[in-house]
Amino acid sequence: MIRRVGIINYGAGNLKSISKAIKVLGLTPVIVEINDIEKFDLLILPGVGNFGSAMKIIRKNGLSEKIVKYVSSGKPLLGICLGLQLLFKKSEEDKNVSGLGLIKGEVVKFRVKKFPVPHMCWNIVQFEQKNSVLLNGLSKEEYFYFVHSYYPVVEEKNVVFGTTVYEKTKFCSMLLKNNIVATQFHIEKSGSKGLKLLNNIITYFKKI
Amino acid sequence: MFTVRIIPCLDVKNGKVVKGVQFKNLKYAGDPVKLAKWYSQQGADEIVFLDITATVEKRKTILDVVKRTAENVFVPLTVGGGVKSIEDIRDLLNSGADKVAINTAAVRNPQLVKLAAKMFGSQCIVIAIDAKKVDKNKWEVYINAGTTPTGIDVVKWAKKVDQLGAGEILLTSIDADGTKQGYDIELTKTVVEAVSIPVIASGGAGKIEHLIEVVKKTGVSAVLAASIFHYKEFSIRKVKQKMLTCGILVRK
Repeated sequence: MIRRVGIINYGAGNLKSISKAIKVLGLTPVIVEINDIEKFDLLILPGVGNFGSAMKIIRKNGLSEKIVKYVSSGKPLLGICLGLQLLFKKSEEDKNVSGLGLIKGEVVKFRVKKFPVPHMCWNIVQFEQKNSVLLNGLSKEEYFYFVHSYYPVVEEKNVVFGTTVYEKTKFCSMLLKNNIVATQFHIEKSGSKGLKLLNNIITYFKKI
Repeated sequence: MFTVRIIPCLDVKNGKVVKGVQFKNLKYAGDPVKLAKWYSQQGADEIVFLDITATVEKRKTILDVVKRTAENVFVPLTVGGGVKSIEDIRDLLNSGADKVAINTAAVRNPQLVKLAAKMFGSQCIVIAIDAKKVDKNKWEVYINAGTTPTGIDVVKWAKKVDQLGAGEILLTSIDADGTKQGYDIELTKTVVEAVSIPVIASGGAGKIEHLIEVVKKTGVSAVLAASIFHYKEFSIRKVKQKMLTCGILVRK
């Protein structure tokens, strides 16, 4: 059962969007500052800000160890945009700060020639794995909304759930590793398909 | 791939959507909350609210409109108009805006752009530039809802905000705005080529061909239009269909 949903507040940006999207799906999320994260059935690492400053806040509050412990207990974690990037240990956005290290690989900056950075548009996510729960009601390719300048290079290829191409760079735009699901796109800002996928993710988490 | 964003803009005054011709003679065109929802259902890739009178009249009624809109619109929402400080940005983000557009205050205090980008992330800081042609291939930045010339060159300013950490530029041609004679192609092209961040073209859309023209000729990332959508002259769906047949990639 997923009753208590916590949205981790690391001091930056808009927690409203994800909060509202979760509410539309019939759950009541709580903004989590520091403590008691173990009491939640689903934790969300939301979407905006800067890798270094987000991790500094997470580390300062001792949240980092708690999140890792929470995940190793098998409970579900959803990362969105920067929340996906924080799952990795290293990011080019801030080389002096290490991330959560829950997924192997690193986060690097787009090196595109013609296209603007940030990658700010609706783009296709091609789902690379079959999963009837997560992809219920969705096609093999769907449009989602992206805003980011950095992307993950994943070492564990089997966690790559969806990929996206920007100019010539193909990157992992959605990952799935047991009780961790993360999207580089803003699932909460991707219209009806985004809400559909978010609903599927919650259904998937209920079953694990 | 890269899809061009189609963005309806709602110029809001006292909580109502208005659209002026060259920023004057404002006409009523509807309720922003209803319009925003309708647009998102129509396939709008993003929605922009510009509180066009906020700088002049120091109003902040927009916060309530943003809150109510954000309750049931699940595409990105950009809000601008009268944004002066970090607190204003925070208020808008907390009300449910995804991005905040800054115009006059950025010109008066460029460091605000840098600070805001650092605090909230570049992705939510949009710099709105109102440009007026002063010579061949030369445009001047205007502030205070297009009423005050600054003497600043548009291209130089665009490059500067890019360096300061802005995530995007919303470029409006004051000359073209409201005329329905098409976007200012030269202006848009010049700015797109000068910066590395996405540019939204604004001002002058009167028919679908204008949107197609500005994308094809300038490589702009997004097109913004108000009146052609508000008066239901063209639906966003229809614009997108036409763009796809012209070889422009848009979200279906």
